[in-house]
Amino acid sequence: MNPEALTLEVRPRSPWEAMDLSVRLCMQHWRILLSGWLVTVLPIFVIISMLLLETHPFWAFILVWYLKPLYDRVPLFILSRLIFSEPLNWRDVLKAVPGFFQTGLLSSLTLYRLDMGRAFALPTVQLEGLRGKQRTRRMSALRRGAKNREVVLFVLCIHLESFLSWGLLGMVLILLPTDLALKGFELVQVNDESPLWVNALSMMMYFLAMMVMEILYVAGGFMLYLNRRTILEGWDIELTFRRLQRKYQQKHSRQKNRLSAARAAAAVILLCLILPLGISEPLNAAEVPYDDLRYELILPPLAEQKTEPGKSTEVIQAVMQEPVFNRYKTISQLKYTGDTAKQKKSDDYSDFIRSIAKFFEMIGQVLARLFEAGLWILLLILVLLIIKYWSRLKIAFNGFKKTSTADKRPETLFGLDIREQSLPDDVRAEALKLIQSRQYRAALALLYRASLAYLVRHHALELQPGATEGDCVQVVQQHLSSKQQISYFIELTRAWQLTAYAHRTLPEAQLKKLVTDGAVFYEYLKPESDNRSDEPEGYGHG
Amino acid sequence: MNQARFIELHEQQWLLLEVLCNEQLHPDKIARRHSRQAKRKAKHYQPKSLYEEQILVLPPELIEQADFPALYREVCQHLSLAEARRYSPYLIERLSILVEQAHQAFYRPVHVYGDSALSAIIRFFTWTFPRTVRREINWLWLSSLLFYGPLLAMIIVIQFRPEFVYSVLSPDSVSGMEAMYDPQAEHIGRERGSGSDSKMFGFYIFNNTSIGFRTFASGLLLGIGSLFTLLFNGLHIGAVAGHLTHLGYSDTFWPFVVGHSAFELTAIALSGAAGLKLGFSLLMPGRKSRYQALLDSAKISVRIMGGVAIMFVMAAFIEAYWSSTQLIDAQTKYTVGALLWLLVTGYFAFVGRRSDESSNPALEMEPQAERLTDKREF
Amino acid sequence: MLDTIKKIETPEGVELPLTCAGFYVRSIAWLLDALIQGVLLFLLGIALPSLGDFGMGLFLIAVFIINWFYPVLFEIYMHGQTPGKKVMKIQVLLMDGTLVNWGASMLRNLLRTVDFLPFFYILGFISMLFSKDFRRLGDLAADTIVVYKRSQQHIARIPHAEPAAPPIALTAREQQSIVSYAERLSQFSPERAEELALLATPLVKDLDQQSGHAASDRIVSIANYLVGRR
Repeated sequence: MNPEALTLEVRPRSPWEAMDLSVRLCMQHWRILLSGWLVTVLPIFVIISMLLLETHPFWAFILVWYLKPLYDRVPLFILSRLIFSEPLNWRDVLKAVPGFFQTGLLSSLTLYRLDMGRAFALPTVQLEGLRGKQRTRRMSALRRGAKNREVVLFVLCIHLESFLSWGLLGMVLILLPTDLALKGFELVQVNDESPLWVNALSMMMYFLAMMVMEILYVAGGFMLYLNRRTILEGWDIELTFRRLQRKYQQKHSRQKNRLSAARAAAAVILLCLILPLGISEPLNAAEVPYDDLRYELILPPLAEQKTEPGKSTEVIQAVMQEPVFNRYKTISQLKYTGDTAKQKKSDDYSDFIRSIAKFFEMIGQVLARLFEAGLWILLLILVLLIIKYWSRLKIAFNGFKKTSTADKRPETLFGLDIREQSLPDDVRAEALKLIQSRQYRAALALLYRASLAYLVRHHALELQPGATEGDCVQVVQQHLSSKQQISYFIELTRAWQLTAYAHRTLPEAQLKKLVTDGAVFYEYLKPESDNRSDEPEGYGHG
Repeated sequence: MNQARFIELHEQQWLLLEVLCNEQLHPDKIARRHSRQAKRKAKHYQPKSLYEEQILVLPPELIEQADFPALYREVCQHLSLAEARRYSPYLIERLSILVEQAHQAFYRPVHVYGDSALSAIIRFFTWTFPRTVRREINWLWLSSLLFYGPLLAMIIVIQFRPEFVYSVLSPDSVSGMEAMYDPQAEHIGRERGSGSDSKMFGFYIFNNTSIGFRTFASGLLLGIGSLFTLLFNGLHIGAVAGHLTHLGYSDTFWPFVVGHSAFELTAIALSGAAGLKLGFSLLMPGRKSRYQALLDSAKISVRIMGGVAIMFVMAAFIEAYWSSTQLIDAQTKYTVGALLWLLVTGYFAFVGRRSDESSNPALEMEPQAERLTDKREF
Repeated sequence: MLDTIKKIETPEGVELPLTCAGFYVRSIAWLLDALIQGVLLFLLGIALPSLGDFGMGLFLIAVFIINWFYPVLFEIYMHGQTPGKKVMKIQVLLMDGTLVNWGASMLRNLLRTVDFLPFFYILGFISMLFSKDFRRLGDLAADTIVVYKRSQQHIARIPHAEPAAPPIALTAREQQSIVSYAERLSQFSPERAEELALLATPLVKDLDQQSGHAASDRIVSIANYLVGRR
């Protein structure tokens, strides 16, 4: 056993988080929890059912319910081992069963049977072995400031248990043939007259639901308990301090009897769990004045803004004396004065009520008319709006005819300016010039921009302003008919991507080939106007 | 640098970010801040909370000029530093909470297509909804088959074997239906004595839309729920229609239902389609993991359901205020019904076909950051 | 280490810890919401039918909206919190830690119907048991998660003391423990505080063991040093 083997993150949590953690814990170890439960609790169920279910079904259920504290010991035993990742199987659970009877079972079944914080108190009894006054003192120390979350847990679990058992029962009944199921639904209230199979079914479902919920409930209580002790005793701090201690011992004393500081530490941790440590009167943190509390660390003092504490009352009173506030008003209201008055007036009164009701109903009818009229008007307005904005909405209805996309053409794609004005007259010559002066990147940028400009202009390709290179290729593949052009464009794109993004230098021959192959693309490209910028705005020189 | 110095240096930035986050998430707080600052100028104003104190400590022009994204990134960096330097857990916690708030404020859903809710709604109905339906048209065909198939079959079967109606409906509900559509009845299409148009409007919204929603949701059970609901509703409606036609109540029944049928039946079929898509993504996830397939299909189906809800409301409106009037003759009602069917079909067939279907799917919401991405630089 | 914290990384490269909320706290939140819905419907049910049939119609519409859209509207406009969730200090977020949007909120609340099956959220309960972050089916499909909303806590005070440098080099974890010891000192009983402090042998070994709280004082001094009061 080793504190490092603790499978939980120890830190102070809110009670809700502690409960959530317990669910995670159970789900992580569901195998051993279920098998432990089955080998110990299932036999009890079977015995009780065999003895009582046929003759006194009601008492069978009561007894099964009553023995819950007995079953609780099983999951708690397993969990207390599991959190130290101690290997455990169902045989160990069986072996531990006799020990459960020495854990204050009698008081759990009598005095504390209806205690709503059963699972929360159980660790003190079962793991710490406290009895009587000691136990009471301990529990009151643990419960102080804990806001009774263990009771909330109890209430939630009891509801979940009943929902679960009813849900399971309902599911089974739905799966049965209809006539049987209908009978089942009628008879499902457990009483002495219901047939045995219905009772047995109910018992089975109750067992399943209880199995799930009791395990979760005990785990929840256990986690709440651990969390309380972490808060009150600083377990997380203890853990690091112990490690610090061990590190120190290993370093300095190097003694042979390394009875393994780890083991010693672990033993003390377990002792923590088993022995009560003095939790006396934890100081109330809330007693520290608010102003000092927050941002003491962080905020520069705001003292200059505050009035002195004693003076506030005077200030308030002074303000209240001002005419704005110092105003009185008489408000009269009806008050119930007794039966006699009411009886006298009852006739008038009911008449009055009736007329009021009629009045309201009339208002209702008027409102209904208005409402209907409103709806119709709304519809009318909607239609009118559609008609009015038809030209704008028409974009949405463009299935019939493709309008010119000229005005929608993007001017830049991925940062490249593809307006024709920005291109030189003779793209190919310009590109060759650039290649010769070893500005490969600029050359490719030019080619690529030119081809895009061509595609947008001559093929009216709909490239969205946010399109990527890949999108362009896709669109080209769908819209261009010439295979040669498509493959050229793909090749060009790849070359561009390699140069621009992968920073590779392509062989000159390949670039020249791109220039010559692209004849189709660039020859059609004639600038529309003369006012063009000579240089493509600095792109391609990166 | 020690912790105290670190705090001293950056305290103002953190306060500023906190104020900015609050104002990003709650725009009304800006006005409140202004009023407080105004009050502050007047003497004797006592801040009511710590938050107020913080605001008042900050110079107003600092808040006005602050660059939220830059500040956010900077505080992220502070958090990483504080963690790396192992400052006090409380400080780390404070910064972490601050970053979490700012993260939420920064990446909160924003309507991209214009900033108002109205433009988002217009966008949804002129673009997203019809396009989504078109893309998922196969599911619509399937659910239509499952819905209209039994419906038509039932109508036809009952013409020849009238007693079949009792296989679906109980005798009580059959007689109820007969009473509702009896040509001599006072209110056609309604139970005798039940309320006025507006009451029925509420009832149709409440009842029909709930059914639609449930049809969709139960699709999560491997599609079985949607399948069952579609079949059941198809049989049910078919039985009623078939029975009333067979009785010779055609003149009252068909004009009544024809008006709202376009919206209502289509909406049911669409709910079923969305549910089936959801369920089948678990059964046949394709190349994705089952969970991923579910996530993807759920995102699409819920868009359909958003449109379906409105379709149900429209159907309720027509059913309550148009179908029920007896002033209008059957001929007009048939014509309007046919027009509405055309409208619905046309809507799904043509609206939103701006460009080829392969372009970027229209996303309703995108994180604000999308807009802030810089131009790509080489 | 078993914990209920889910760490998500933001695009800025910062890790945010989200604490998943389990079904205990969520069922209380649900109950509160159900109560509010019930009271709303009850009040409307009294007020509206006095308007006759029209009121009935409005009432039915209200039932519909409250049934289906009460959680959606609150989750959108109150940043992931219905009133019940607000009271319990929990919040719905997308899995990347951002606020829920319309699609996700609609989805998780429409699919509530399925979680409810076959009887009172049994399916949702089972789903929350088996999924790692306590997500019901609606959460799984909508890619959302319910977490505890953190808020700026009152910062516990570290008692002032003469700062003292630690005699040995301390790891980060140890430093944090020492600081949090000083911060939580007021919650421990004096005996326990001293006992804890004595565990950190290397820090307190030179002290005179006789005096009541020497070790505790030493640790607080070191904490003062560590937070930078030097």
